[in-house]
Amino acid sequence: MKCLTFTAINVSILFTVSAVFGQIRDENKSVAYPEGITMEYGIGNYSVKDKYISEEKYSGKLPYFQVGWVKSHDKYFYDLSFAFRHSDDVANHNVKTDIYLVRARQGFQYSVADFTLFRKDMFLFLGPSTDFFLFNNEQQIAISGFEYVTSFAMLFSAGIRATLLYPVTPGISLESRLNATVASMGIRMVDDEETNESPLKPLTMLKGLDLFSSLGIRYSPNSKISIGAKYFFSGANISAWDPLRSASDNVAIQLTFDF
Amino acid sequence: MNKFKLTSFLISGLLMVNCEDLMVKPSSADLNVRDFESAWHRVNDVYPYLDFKGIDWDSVYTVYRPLAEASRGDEIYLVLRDMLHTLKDGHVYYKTEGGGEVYPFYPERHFRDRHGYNPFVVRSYFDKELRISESKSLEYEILPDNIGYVFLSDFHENYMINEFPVALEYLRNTDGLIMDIRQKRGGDYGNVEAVVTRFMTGSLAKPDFYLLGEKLDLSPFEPQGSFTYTNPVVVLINGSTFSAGELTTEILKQLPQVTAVGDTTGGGSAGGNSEPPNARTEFLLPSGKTINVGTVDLRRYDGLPWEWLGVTPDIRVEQTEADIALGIDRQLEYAIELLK
Repeated sequence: MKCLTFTAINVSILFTVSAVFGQIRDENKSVAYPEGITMEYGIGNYSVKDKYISEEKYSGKLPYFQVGWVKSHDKYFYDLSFAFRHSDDVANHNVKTDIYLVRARQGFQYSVADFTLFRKDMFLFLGPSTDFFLFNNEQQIAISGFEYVTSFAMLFSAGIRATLLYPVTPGISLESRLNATVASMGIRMVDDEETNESPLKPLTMLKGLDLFSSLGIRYSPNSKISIGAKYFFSGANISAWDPLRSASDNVAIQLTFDF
Repeated sequence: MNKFKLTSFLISGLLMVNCEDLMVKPSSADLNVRDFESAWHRVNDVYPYLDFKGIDWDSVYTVYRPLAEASRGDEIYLVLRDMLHTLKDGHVYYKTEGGGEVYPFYPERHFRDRHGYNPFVVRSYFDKELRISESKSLEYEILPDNIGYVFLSDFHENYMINEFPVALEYLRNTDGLIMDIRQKRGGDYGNVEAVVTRFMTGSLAKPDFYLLGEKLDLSPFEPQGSFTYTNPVVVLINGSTFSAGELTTEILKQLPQVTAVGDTTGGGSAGGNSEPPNARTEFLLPSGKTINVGTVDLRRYDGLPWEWLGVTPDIRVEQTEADIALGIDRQLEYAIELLK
């Protein structure tokens, strides 16, 4: 929760300060939003506590693959991405579990503010997004081969996305992103022998949250290609049923081609 | 203010590192030894077949107690799994907090025969679609030569009580009936009774029933329903026929018009009862995990449990996965020829 608080504070400060000091965005300034197709690969420390199947915390390395596409339009940038993560090496001591994560997002990014920091322009983009999140967890214990412990959760969400770009030099920029679901339709595995609870529920972000935030650096040797590296945090908290909470700290490299 | 913005931006970025550990904390409770003790005592107190199987449960304690003490977190599942596996009982399982039954043991005969029945192959012997009951627990139709066929898949809820009479009414005027109980896992005594009593012309003693070690004095079966089906009946069984399916077969075998065809059933006769509460099979461990251990010992008419032993067919007809792959159901074909 401490992490969420700091992330929220960060975003609040950025928004508030921009508004209070009246730094009106300049329509004539060029915006270095990275367009094109981006491929990302990363790895992170992943932890999950899925109380549908266990009170215990499971941790391990979880690789990350993402493909994204950004296209500029007159008033906004359209952003589409698909990420997949899988590991069968997430464990609680000697008990392993098989984790699958899928995230698909699309969003619209509007330039809402730009301001000056150390005599350089900084650009803030904001817009709505629609998000899909899938979590599947299969504990690797059973030996009979056809009965096993599994759990899954899905969120179909409307969210918000913010991007902060800070070009340090003409070829290098710092980027920060935050994506959070606001309202979702959630699906969760329920034990229909033990409860009449519906597996389908509408959720606010308090009961169903998928959060992503990142901080990275990008180098663009020319206008057609750029490479980058970033740290990102992603987490999910679904508490409308047996609670599911997961979090991961990650590093990733990215390669973007613009056509 | 610019410095303030940049500083807050960078600091919060740095603070996000290692969020994973802060957001997902380890479990604070360690109830592994208490779970083990509770599970061991439950089996010791209620399980009916320790002597029959020659299991020294005290030695099991000696072996697994140190493992429970050494277990961390969910490693207790491995200890429970291995300890319960020593019972070699297809009814025994443990359950995680939210669901997911894990069976440490399943009969070898089940693995041998689980692909020995295929509903699509069965359908190839019909010249029309099979009728399916509302709960999908029954499918039935009339084969050429006026032979009835009914597949019974689930003896839970009140499926057989409500739906078997409808199927039998449809098959009432057939010259013979095939009751297919292959691929049958379990169910309730009331549903078994609803099926077997439709084939009885008089009273039939119930097989012995021991509840928590006490033999119950049960009234005999009596014919039920608007009519009794007295034409020849073949019951198809195999290694996947289990529990309530085995009880159904064992009772039907006592009737003169019934012949059991196929292969020896899986062998699971440990059941439970809703009363008294201690006779229920599911048992809650201190941490919220559940184990399922039988409290009832059901017997064949020869006085032995069918646990491990299974129920044998009157006529053994072997069927392999290769037969099914070729679209041949030898057991069904034998039953058809027998009833022609």
